[in-house]
Amino acid sequence: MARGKNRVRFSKLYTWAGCFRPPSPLERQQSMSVGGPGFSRVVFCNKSELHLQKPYRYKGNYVSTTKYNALTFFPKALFEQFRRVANLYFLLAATLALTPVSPYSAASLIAPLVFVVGVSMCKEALEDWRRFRQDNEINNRSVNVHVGGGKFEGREWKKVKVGDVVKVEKDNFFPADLLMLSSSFPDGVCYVETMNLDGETNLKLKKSLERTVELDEDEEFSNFHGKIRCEDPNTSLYTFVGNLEYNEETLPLGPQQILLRDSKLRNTPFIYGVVIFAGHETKVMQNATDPPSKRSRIERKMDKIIYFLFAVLLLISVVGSVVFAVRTKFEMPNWWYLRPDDPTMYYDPKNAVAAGLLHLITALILYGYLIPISLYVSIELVKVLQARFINNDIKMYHPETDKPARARTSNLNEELGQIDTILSDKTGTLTCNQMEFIKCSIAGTAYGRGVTEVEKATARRLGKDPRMLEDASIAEEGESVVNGSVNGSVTDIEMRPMPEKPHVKGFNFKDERIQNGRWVDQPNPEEIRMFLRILAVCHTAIPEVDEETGTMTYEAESPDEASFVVAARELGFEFLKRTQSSVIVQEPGPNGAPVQREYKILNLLEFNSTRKRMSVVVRDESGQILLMCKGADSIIYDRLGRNGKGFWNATKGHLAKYGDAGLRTLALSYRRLENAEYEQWNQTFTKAKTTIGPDRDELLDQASELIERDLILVGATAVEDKLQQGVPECIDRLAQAGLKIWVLTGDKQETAINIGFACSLLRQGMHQIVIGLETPEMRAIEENGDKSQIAKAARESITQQLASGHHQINLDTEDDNPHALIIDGKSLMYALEDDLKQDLLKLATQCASVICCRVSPKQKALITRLVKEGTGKATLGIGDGANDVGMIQEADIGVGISGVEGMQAVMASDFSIAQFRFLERLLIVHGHWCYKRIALMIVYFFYKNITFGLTLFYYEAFTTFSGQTAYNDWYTSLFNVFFTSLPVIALGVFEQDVSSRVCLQFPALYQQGPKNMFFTWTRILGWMANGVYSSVVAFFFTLAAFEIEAYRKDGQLAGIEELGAAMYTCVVWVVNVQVALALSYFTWIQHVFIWGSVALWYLFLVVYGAINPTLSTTAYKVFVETLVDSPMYWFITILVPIACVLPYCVYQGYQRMFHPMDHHLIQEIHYLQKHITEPEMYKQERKKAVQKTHQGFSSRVQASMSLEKTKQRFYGDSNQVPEQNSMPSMEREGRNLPRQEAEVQRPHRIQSSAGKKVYRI
Amino acid sequence: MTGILQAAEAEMEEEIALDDVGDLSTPNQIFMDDEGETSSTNQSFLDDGGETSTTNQSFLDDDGGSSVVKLLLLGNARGASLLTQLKQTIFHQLKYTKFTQQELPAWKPVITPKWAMIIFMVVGIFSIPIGIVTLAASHNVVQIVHRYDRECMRSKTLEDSVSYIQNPSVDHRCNVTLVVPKMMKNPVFVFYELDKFHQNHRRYMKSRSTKQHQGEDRRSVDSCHPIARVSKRDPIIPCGLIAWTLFNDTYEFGFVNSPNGPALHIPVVQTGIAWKSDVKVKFSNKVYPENFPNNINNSTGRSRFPVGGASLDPALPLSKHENLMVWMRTAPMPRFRKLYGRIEHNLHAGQVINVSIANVYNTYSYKGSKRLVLSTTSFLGGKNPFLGRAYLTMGVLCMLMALVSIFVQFRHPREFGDKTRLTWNREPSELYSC
Repeated sequence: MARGKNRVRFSKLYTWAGCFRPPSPLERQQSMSVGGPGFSRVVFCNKSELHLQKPYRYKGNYVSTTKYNALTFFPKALFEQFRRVANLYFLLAATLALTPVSPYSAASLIAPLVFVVGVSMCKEALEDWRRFRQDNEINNRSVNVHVGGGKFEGREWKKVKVGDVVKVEKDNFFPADLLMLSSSFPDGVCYVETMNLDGETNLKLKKSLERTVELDEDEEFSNFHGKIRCEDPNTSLYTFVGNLEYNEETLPLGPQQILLRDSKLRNTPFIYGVVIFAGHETKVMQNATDPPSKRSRIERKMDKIIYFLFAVLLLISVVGSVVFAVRTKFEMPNWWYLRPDDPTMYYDPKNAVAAGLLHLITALILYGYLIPISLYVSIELVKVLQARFINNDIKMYHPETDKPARARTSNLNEELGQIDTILSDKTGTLTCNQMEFIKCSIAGTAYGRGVTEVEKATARRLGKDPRMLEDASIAEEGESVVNGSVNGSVTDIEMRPMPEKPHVKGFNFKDERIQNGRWVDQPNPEEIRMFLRILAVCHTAIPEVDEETGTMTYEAESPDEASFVVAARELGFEFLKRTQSSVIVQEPGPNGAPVQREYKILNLLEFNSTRKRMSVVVRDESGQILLMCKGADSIIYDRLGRNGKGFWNATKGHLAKYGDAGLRTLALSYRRLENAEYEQWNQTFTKAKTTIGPDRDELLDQASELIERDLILVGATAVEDKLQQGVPECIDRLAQAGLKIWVLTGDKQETAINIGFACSLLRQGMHQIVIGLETPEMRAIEENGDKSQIAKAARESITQQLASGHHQINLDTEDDNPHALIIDGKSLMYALEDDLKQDLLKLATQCASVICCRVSPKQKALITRLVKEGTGKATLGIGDGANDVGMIQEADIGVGISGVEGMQAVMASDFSIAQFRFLERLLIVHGHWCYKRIALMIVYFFYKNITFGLTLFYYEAFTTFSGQTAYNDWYTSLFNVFFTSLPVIALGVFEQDVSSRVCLQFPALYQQGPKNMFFTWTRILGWMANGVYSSVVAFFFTLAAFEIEAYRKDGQLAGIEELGAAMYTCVVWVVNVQVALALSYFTWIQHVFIWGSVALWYLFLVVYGAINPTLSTTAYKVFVETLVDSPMYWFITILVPIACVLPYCVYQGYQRMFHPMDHHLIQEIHYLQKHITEPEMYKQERKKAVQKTHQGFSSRVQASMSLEKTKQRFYGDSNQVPEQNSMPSMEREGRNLPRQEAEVQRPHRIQSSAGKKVYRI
Repeated sequence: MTGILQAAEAEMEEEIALDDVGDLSTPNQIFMDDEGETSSTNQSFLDDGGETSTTNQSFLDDDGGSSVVKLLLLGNARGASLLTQLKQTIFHQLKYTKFTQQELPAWKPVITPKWAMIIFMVVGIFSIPIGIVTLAASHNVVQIVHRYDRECMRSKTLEDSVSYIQNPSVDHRCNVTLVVPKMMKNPVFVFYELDKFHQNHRRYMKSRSTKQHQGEDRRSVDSCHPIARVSKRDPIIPCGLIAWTLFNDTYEFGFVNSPNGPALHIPVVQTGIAWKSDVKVKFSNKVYPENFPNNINNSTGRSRFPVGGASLDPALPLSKHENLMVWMRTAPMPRFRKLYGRIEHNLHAGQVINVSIANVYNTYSYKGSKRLVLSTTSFLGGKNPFLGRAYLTMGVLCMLMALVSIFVQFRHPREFGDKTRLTWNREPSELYSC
């Protein structure tokens, strides 16, 4: 309940806002608040035919998620394809190829384009076909529909219409959004699983209106008529406003009565319902959204390279055209052999300008090889294959949930290797969202001996024995230790605690004082009874009995709540049954024997994130009306009555302690109500409840406010939010890889800080800069209530706090202790405003850790955007819930945890993993590899096309730029498709600089990505220069060898055919040898691809050369007849590749010799097997191979070790261990700091005994 | 069994204790190493904490699982067999293959200074002899190149030259004397060399019809513009600019025994100079020259096409016109040679050869030159020192590189796999950014 997760959905309601960039989720959300949804929908129950006519015309239930249909596929898919500028360019080239302007034959230009576009379209078609089949499967599901006269007939979903009455049976999905009329249960409830909507596995209770409960037979519907007025279709899954006019009554409807499409009926034999929204108007369909298209940094840079090459292309084309025009004008008239007296417009010396312009087009097509058509296809293909490897990685597979990692969009793989900042959600991401009731404070006494993971972890890292903690936690209470079970297994208590009883999920509470009914002997048994009763009654959980074992489990909306009910049961108050209007609890009677008591639920005041509390109003068997309320401590405190604060001080102390131990706390309270008071209030409340319209929620809040006062505090609960497996280790390694981790959580500050400690994002000795508005001054201003004044004061306060934060960091430069920024949502509201956000960012980037608490989903997205745009570095958002969707979509890469909670985050994400800890492998292994692969692949791609394209250009120069190529048309067209594509794909898919194990062993290697060492302009230009060099060598060497003398023993001279084929052979060899040199990882695949490509060229030459010369033209028998027995040809094919790669080799040798990079050295270490022969050295290096970081437990331990040393220096050799208790005091100190610092005075520093710094003015 | 396990556990814990914070994760390694390190000691296993051990723990949570891990740690053979079982049973959805896990056995070449040296050496050692051999081959080729376009033209002005060369009624004969510098072994090839003649001009290159020459379709002349048909019905055979501009200077060779004595005719073989594929496929023996502008002009003097180059004997099919085939293998560069014929005699050093040239081909309009070339060949072809020089240069360069790398090894030796060069072992100031 205390999980402040707002379920907000950023949806696709809005029109396409930007021309080039889809609107970011933030923009969408902002526009969402403009104007509420209308309330115009009218549904006539059982008269579905009415809705087909005007003015209604509601949509049918046919659902299509396909992008195309049979008719629109071609135009639409083609349009999509040619929206890519490159494709358009190639289409233009192909069109022009039909005219004589083209230097190539039309077929040789059109074929690759058709191939490229065809492949992409096939992919689209296949994906769409899959969607279509899925749709079909859903559309043809059957459901029972009322066909009149009380008869129900099976009908396909797609034929269901608005207004139809349907009967849905157990374990079936609802075909549309339904108004629930009745269920098989007499009280008209049903249980619904909403897994497909929000990923939550727990069941939800839905309840029909009292008036329609009796409609529980098929026959009842023959005369059933009603009119529903409700809101228009919208995306909000958790709201519904409407009313039902039935039997001349107007009944209010709420979300409780609405059954949403794609959720499933569970534990209920059947229900009846009326279709309100069908097909695309259903809430789930309205929510469907495609993730915004993202592009990686490398791709964006690649665009720049392409523009650059376009410029080069244009330049050389213009040069060529000018020369051509000039020579045509002045020289061609003398070239009688060209018949200049009988010209065509393309070579007309009298109109050289026109000829030149036409030539420009020719040249643009001709040198188009500089911009490879296949680059896009190759990259796409490579990324898809990379994604497959990510999906297939067993080490990112979670067998318990049977979920592998999924690359949902494949075009961001390389971005994974460039991440700088990780923005992480907390609940469900770092923690498992599994709550265990571990401690409680009742009537001012603390109970519970359980030790939290946080405490254990801290103790372990400080060298303490965690076993001692259990004693300590009791000893602290000043109570005697009962039945020390500590002596159990001595060897590894923390690994395998030996519980006497089997472990109950959600319950880790151990305290003999109140377990097994002994609580009656405690000083305040009545308070304890009330405490446990509140736990057992005040909730919305549903008991579920497993039919096979007879055990009872609880389905609750939040795991906290389930743990409460379980705790109550374990302590003797067993929640047995829930009916429409009551809760039955088995509790110990006055004599100790269990008795069943029924509590009539009169009202339920629901939990929401603004109220931060929930209450029930119940009437017990004695007729006493009770309000039970549980909620956040501050909220409850504000509502305590004068006589209700008896235990407040003691409880507050316990709450603080629990908070320090990383526990989630709730305060429990109750109030006795008089009948009259209740009746009066109930009227107000019912009125608010039946209101239709947007202000309903507010009215409800106001009504609740009226009764939730004068409460009596009973105690508080502490629930442990368990960290996910491997999270601390993963964070540690990510931090060592130089990644910054920010936690953005909806939790309150204390919890967030605790989790921060648990994950080692915060540690002792860190200077915490806490920015918040919870100051007395602010509170005073807030009480005065003028909104603008509050805002002004808040803004001032934040500005001041940011400034003093900066100041503090500047002052602290000489000591190592890092800073941590903790900021809450309220402050962020102001800090994220335009004029402050740069300050905030500057401060945040100077801090080692940043924790934002109490942030709304929108703020999560805003922070993400701030980091992304402010630092210009790549960000990764990771989360599991609907509230993380904004962050996930806004971040450069969104990762969804496909764990328990959510589909929504996963649906919005680019990658999904089952556990947070897989992020390590995803980034450090796959990210690193993909980054290097793609970076190398792209530069190599440009290299090979420059090499090839420039040889065309040089040859042109010798033909007076007339547009003639030395190569046969098909050589040129197949260059990128056949002879050079496979090696580059092998490079992009399989290349590994170091093995995955080494990647993980040396996390510092990851920094090559964020520092972008492999896609810098120097590197790109270096490769381009290499391409220019290779082209020069390949062209002029071949030319020199074949010109002007005979190249064979029999005196034959090289024609254009032979020269072209020889030169092309050289180019094919050069680019393939070059790729072989660039690789550092050869499996049989690389060998087959590289040498196979070369072999394929020869094969092609033979096969193509054997075709009739009208088709093969200049390639006819060129190889078998002229080249194969010419030693000159073979000598030159050996010479050119070696000469071409020589500078590359020299550079590589130089670099490796004088400036070796880390992966070079590690390769060498492995090559020499030093990691086996010198394990100590290897281990040392691995330990050192970390980025300087202040996050992660390694740094934490290091810090505490150095602390120890410092202390020893100060106090001599004492064995004093830094006290754990110093943490909270430190925090408090830190929290006060900014304000103190505001007065710009140089503070004195005093080294305190714990080694921390304290500022005194 | 349990005893062993406990021992292993104890050992493990000890290891953990030794190992400090960096390696807090449980050392286990259930996936076989791709680098064949499995055979190494226990130590190396324990050293593998880098692998996300947690992954393994997730499905090995129960005691059985972790004992498997521990068994493996002991290098137990049974552990290995259990491992295979595990691999088969655990992954329901994903299959473990070396391919999908990107663990295929691979060759990971690392260029060590020693290897770099060896490679440079080897390349050098191979290149230098190749260079010497090819250079020698080129050197041994004997060649006579004689430019004759100027000496065969009495007119000095351009206009005169052009009108002279275009006038068919004037005698174009011209005698040239060549001296054999060195013994030229049979066969001696006779070439003519033109320059500034753009056979590679696109307009020129395209102006041909393989279909027609091949005999597939006599009327397929669309590509031959501007030399396509004489009238609508009569295609020119062979059509196109290339055929029309066929080179037509002729040479007759004779030995000059004494300065004034009669020349002894030296026969020049003009068959077998074209490629077989041309003779057999590209130029049909069923297609005869027809309406060929150069022929028409010669006989009737009336044609809308001017005189281009050589005429073709209409009685001979295209497959017999080898000079045409040679000409039609268009040259890639504006300066080119074409095979004219073969002298199947040895020419001895000092012999004087008189060449009687019919200087009729117009190279004067575009200020080109004409050369007569007599050349022997080596196994590599003509006199072309490029290949030899290139190989020699490359060889020398490679040797030099090898020496430099040896030198560098001595002067600034860098320990291979030197840990001190790792970025984290260096001061930030000396870091080199790439």
